[in-house]
Amino acid sequence: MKLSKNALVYITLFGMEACWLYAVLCAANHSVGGVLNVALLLSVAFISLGISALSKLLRWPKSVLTALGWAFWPVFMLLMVKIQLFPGLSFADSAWLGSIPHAFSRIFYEFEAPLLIFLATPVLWWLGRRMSGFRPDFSTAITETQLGVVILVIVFFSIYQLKLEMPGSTGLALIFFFFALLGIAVSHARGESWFFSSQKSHWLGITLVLIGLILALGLVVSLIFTPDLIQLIIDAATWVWSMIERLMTFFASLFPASSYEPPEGADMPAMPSTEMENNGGLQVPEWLKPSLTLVWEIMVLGLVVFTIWRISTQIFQWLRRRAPGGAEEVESLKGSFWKDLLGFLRGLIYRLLRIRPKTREDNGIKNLPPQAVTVRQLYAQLLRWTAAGGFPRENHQTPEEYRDMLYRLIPEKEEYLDFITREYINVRYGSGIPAEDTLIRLKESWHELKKSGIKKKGKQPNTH
Amino acid sequence: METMHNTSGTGTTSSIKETADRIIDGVSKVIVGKEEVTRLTLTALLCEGNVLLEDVPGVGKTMLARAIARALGCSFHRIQCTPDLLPSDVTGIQFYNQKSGNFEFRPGPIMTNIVLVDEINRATPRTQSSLLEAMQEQQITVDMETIKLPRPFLLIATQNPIELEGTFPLPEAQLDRFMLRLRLGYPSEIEEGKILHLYREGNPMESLESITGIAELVELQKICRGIYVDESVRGYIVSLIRATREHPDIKLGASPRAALGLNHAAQAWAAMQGRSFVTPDDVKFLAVPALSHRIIVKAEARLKGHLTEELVRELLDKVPVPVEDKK
Repeated sequence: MKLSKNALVYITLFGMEACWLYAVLCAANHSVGGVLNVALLLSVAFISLGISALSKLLRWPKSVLTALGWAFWPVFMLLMVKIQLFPGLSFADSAWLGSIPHAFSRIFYEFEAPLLIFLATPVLWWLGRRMSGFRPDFSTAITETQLGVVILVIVFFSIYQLKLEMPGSTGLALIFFFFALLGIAVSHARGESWFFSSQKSHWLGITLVLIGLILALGLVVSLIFTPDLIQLIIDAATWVWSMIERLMTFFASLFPASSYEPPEGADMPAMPSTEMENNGGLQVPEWLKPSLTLVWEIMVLGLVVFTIWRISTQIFQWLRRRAPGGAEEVESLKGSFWKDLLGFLRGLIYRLLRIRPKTREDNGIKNLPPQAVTVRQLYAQLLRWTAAGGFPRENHQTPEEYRDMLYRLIPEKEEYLDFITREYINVRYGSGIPAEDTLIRLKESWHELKKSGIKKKGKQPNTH
Repeated sequence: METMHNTSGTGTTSSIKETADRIIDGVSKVIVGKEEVTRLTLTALLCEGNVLLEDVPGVGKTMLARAIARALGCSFHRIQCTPDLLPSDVTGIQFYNQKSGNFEFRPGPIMTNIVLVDEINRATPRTQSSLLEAMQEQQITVDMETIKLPRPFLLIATQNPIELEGTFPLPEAQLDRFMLRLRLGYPSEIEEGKILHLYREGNPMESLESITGIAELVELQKICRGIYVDESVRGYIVSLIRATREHPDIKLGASPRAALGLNHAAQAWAAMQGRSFVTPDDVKFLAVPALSHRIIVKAEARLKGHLTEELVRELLDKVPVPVEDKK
C-alpha cells in the first residue's frame, strides 16, 4: 500500500512538471515559428529523469555519477536536432551537425530552432535530474504546485501580451490542477492505508470540490471577463494613474518658482512641451520605451505572482491545520490572512527602516562575556564545517548526540570533539565563562579538527 | 570554569553525584541490572515527585522500593490495594481512647517516607482520590484536620498492565500527578542467572546498609531545586510540551504540570550527573518517562498501535534543540 501511495504521488509530481514544462516549451516554440514537436522535446526531461534514477543504483562517487549523467545530454541534444529538424538526412551527413554553429552565428538576426534546442535541452536535462530527487511528501507537492502555478501564470500572461495562440491552454491548466490537488491530497494522507483512512474522504472531497470549483470559476471568468471588460479595467487604471500624475504636478507647482534668470542674449534650448505633458514631465527616449514597458509589466506580473504565491501558501497551511479532525481550535481563514498580512507589512517596514527586531538570541549573545561569545562562535564554525562536509546537525540533535555521530566519522579526533562539545555545553547551558587557557586549548582543538578534514562518505550514520 | 548564574557550586553537585552513585551501587546488590530505573526513582525522590511503576508481577517492584528505602535510611510502608480498601485504611483514623477520654489520631501506612502502593488500580476511585492529596500537597486530611506527611516523601505506585479485570483505571488527573512512569522489565538471561545466584543463600536485602539519612536527603532536595536551567532549555521544555498538544494523533497533550515536572526532574537528573545546570540531553532522556503517561492517544491512533512512548520519541525527533545557528 505504501508503495502505491508513493507511486501515485510521484505520478502527480511528474505530471505537474510535464504540464508547466509543456506550456513553457509551447510558448518558446512560437519564437521559432512552431516548427518543433513540443512533446518530443519534453521527453528529454523524462529521459534525464530515468537516467538519473538508474544511476542512483550505482554506488559510485557523486562526482562521477554527475559527470556520467551530463555526458548523455549532448547525445540527446544532437538527436533532437536531427530527429526534429532534419528527419530526412542520414546521420552521416554533417549538414545537420552544422546547423547549431550556424544558428549561433545568426543569433543577432534570427532566433533559430537549433539554437532553441541547444538552449532548452540542458535546462530540460537539469530539470529531469531535479525530478529524480523528488521526495513523495506533502511539502514537495505543495512546492511544485506553487511553482507550477507561478510559471503557468507567467506563460499565459506572456502569451496574452504577445498575442500568441496556445490551443489547449485551458485543458492544460485543468490537467495541472488535477495533478496538483491529487498529489496534495494523497501525500497528506497519513499512514500506509491512505485510501482507507478516515482522512481519505476529507481530502478526496476537498480535491473534487476544488476541481469542480476551478471548472466553474473558469467558465464564469471566461463569460464575465471579455476583452471589452479587460480593456475597461485597463482604461480605468490608466485614468486613476493620470489623476495621480496631475496631483503630483499640482504639488510640484506649490513649490516657489526658481528666481534664476538667464543672462541676456543666452540661447536656451526649447523644451518639447507636448512630450512633457504626455509623460507627466518625464521625457523618455523612444528606443527606451519598449524596455521600460517590459520592466513595468514584469514588475506588475511579479506582484501578481507574489500575491498568488502567498495566498496559496496561506490556504494550504490553513487547510493542513484544519485537516486532522477539526477538534482543535484553528483561526479562521480570514484571520490567518490578516495575521500573514500584518507579519509581512511588519517585516517590510523593518527592512525599509533598517530595523532588525531583537531576538531573544541576539539579546542573549549581546549580554554574554566575550569569552563565552568566542566559544559559541567557534561551535557555530564547527557546525558550518561539518555541514559543508555533508554531515549537518539535525535540528533535533543535541550537541552530545551530534558529537557521538561525529565520533563515528572521525574517530581519531574524538578527544578534540569531546573537548569542544563539553566546553560549548558549559557555556551555552551552564552560562560558564571559560578561562583563557581553555580558550587557547579550544582554538588549538579546532585547528586540529580541521586538519583531519571531513568528507561526505554516503549515508549519514543512524543517530539512534 | 567560572559560572555566572547557577546557585549550586560544583562541589555540592558532585556530592549529590557521589551519594547517588553509592545508593545505586547499594541497591544494585539487591536489584540486579536495573540501575537506570533506580536512578530515575531517586530522581523523582530528589525532586519531590511520585513514581508509577507499571509492570508485570514478579519483576521486583516491591523489592526495589524496599531497597531504596533501606539505602536511604527512610521508613517504608506497603499498601496492598484491593477493592475493599477504604480511604481511612490509607490515611489513618481518629479513634477514641477510652483511657484518656480523647480522640487520638492513629496514622495510616501513608505516614512514612517511602510508601509503596501496590496495584493502585485495584483500589476504588474513592480510595485513589485520598492518595491525590498526599501526592500533590504532601499532606492528608483526616476528619477536617490537615496533617503534613513526613519529608522526604515518595509514593511509588505499581500497576499490572496485563490483568485489567476488576480494576479501576487511574483517571487522567491522578496520572498527571506522577512525576515519572517507569517499567522494570524482565531481566536479561545473564541478569536472571545473577539473581538466582544472589538469592541462593537468603535475602541480600538483609545486608543492605543505609547509605544516607533523612536530613541529608532533604538537603539534597534543596540543592536540586537550585540547579540552573537556562532560558533556552526552559524554552525547549515548553516547545516539547506544546508539541504534545499539537500532534494530530494525541487527543490530550501534556499539561503545564507536566512541564514543571519535567523541569524539576531534569534538575535532579543533572545534579545526579554531577552538573550544576540542565542540558537538553537531560530533558530528552526524561521526556519519555515524564510525559508518556500524561498524554492520551486518539482512538484511531491507538488502533494503529501507536504507543504514547513512540509518540513522545517522535516529538523528540522533531522539536528543535536550542543550539548555535550554523548560519
